[in-house]
Amino acid sequence: MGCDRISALPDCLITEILLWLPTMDSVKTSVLSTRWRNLWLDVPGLDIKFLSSNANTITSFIKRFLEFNRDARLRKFKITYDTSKGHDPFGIREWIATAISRGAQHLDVVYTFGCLIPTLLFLYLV
Amino acid sequence: MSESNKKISLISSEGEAFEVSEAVAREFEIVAHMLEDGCSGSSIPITTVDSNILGKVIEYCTKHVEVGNVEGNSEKAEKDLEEFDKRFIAVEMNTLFSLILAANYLNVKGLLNIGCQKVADTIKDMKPEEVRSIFNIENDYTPAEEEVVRKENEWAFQP
Repeated sequence: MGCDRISALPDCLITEILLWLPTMDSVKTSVLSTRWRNLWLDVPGLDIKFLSSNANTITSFIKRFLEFNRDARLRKFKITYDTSKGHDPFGIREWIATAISRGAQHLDVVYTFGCLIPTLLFLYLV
Repeated sequence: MSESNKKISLISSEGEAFEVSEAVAREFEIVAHMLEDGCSGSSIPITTVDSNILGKVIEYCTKHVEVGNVEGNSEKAEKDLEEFDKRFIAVEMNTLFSLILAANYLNVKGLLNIGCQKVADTIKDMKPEEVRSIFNIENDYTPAEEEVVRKENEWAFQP
């Protein structure tokens, strides 16, 4: 009883678990304990939602994340954003290019229009 | 046909033998590699996995091999398999981590994926305090240190 089995996992298995989480939840694990401080940075993927309130913060976060571990392969890349701000307001095209150059084998883009429904762009690299 | 009838014994850390078909044993990538490397013996020791967990991993692989062999009606088979996976991985936390470690060691990718996904589902939408309590994680930050880490990526902590 009381055994912390998750923190005892090797780093590669913890990041494998974090890969299944939205990046926001993955980043939050940094405060669990010192063991978890930087593990989220080694997750080979991103799953991020832009809100109008946090667009600038998220943009700089993604830039920093992609610059960290430049050579690491990205397995998953998912971005959700609202196109009422324009066609490509955050430089997403450039990130897609980066993601592809870092290991894309499968690309799936869903692009939906609508006034009330935010436009979604999903890009999975499997 | 004759190849799939071949039996292989997988030996757990306690020395217990589990007899499985070669097709099931090959679901363990580590075993598949041994067989390809000319390891022709019919008994393979899996020294880091105990009987309880090895039995479960075999159950998982057997089901997946069975379903993979059925021809036609693939949509239903896929659904059944999804249901099976969901039931299979609904285990208490200790078993879940043992399964993840075994799946990683034996290189059973499907099982590793559903195991990791199950843990992630538990973490998702939880506050850090709740995650610590569920997994018995001891917070070794000082309050000041924790505050610094929170500040670094404040956006993630906003509701």
